[in-house]
Amino acid sequence: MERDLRYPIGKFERAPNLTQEQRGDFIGQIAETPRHLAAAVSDLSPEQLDTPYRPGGWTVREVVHHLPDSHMNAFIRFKLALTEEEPTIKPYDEALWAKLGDVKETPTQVSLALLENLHTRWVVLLRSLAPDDWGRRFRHPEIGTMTLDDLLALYAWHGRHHVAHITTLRERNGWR
Amino acid sequence: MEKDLRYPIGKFERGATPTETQRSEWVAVMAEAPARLTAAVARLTPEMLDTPHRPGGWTVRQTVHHMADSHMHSFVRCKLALSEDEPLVTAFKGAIWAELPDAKSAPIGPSLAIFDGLQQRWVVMLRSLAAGDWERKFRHPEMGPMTLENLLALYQWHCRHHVAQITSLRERNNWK
Repeated sequence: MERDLRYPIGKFERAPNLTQEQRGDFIGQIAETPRHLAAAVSDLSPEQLDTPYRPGGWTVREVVHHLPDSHMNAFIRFKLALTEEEPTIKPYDEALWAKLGDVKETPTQVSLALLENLHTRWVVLLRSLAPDDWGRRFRHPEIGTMTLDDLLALYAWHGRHHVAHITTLRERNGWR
Repeated sequence: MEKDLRYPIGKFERGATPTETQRSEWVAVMAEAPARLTAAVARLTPEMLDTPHRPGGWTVRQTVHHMADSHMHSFVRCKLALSEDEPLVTAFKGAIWAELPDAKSAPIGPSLAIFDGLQQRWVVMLRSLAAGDWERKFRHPEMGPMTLENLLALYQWHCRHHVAQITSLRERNNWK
C-alpha cells in the first residue's frame, strides 16, 4: 500500500473525555514541539528549505512559518474560551496565509524563536488550568463546538504532524 | 495641570491619510519597538516588574505580556484582511486576559521574544505590501471597519504608548 505523504503520523482522531494523565502527556508534546522542529530543520540549506515536503505541498520554509501562524490562532482560541462563554472564533485561510510576503521573506530562525516562546507561555497557561476548565468551549463556524480538551489533543497532534512532514522528507532524500 | 498617567504620549488620534513617508516612518517605529520595550524593562527586579505603572493600572509585567497578546491579534487581523474580503475579526477582553496566569505572573522573557519575532515578521509583511493593499479592510465588532493603514497608525502608537508607560514609571521612581 502506498503511504499517504500528507499524513505521516496518521490523521487526527478526536478522543473525548481525556484523563488528567492524557492531558499531561499532550501538554508535554506541546512543550517539546519547538525543539523537535528546530532539530528537524537544522543544517538545511536554502535550497532544501525551499523543497516541497511532497509534490504540490508546502515547502519546508512554509511549514516552519505556518506553525507559529497556526499556534498563535490556537493560543488565542484557548484564551477566548477561558474568558468568554462559548465564543465564536475566526478561522483563517492557511493556504493563502502561507503565500503572503512575511512567509516568503522572513528567515526561518524568526519563526522558530516565535514558536518556542509562544509554546513556553502556552504551556504555563495549560498547566494552570483546573480540571473543570478543560470542558470550556468555543464555536468554530465550520467545525462546530470544540472543548479545550479537543483543542489540546488537536494541537499536540498538529505539531508532531508537521515535524514529521520535514523529518520524512529528510529521510526520503537522504539529507543528513 | 496634572498629567494623565494613563496617556504619557497622549491619546491615539486618527489623523489624515498618511503620506508614503509617514507610513514608512510608522513601519520603522514598529521595527524598533521590540528593542525599545526590552530596554524599558532592562534590569528591573521582580518587585519592580510587579509594580503598577499607575495606581490601579497594569503592572510592568502585565504590560509586557499584553504587548505580545495584543500584537498577536493585530498581526492575525492584518493577515485576515490580506487574504479575505473585509473579514469580521474577533475582539478580546484585554483586561481579563491580563489576569490569566500566563500574563499575571509568568516570566516576561518569552513575551519579549514573542513580541520581537512577531514584529519582525509583521514588518517584513508591511514592507512587501503593494500601494493598493493599504486600503484593505477588516471589520472589528466594536470599532467597525479599519483599513491596514488605520491599523498601522494605531499600532505604532500602541507600541510607543505602552513603552512610555514603563519609562515614565522608571523616571518617577528613579529606577536606574
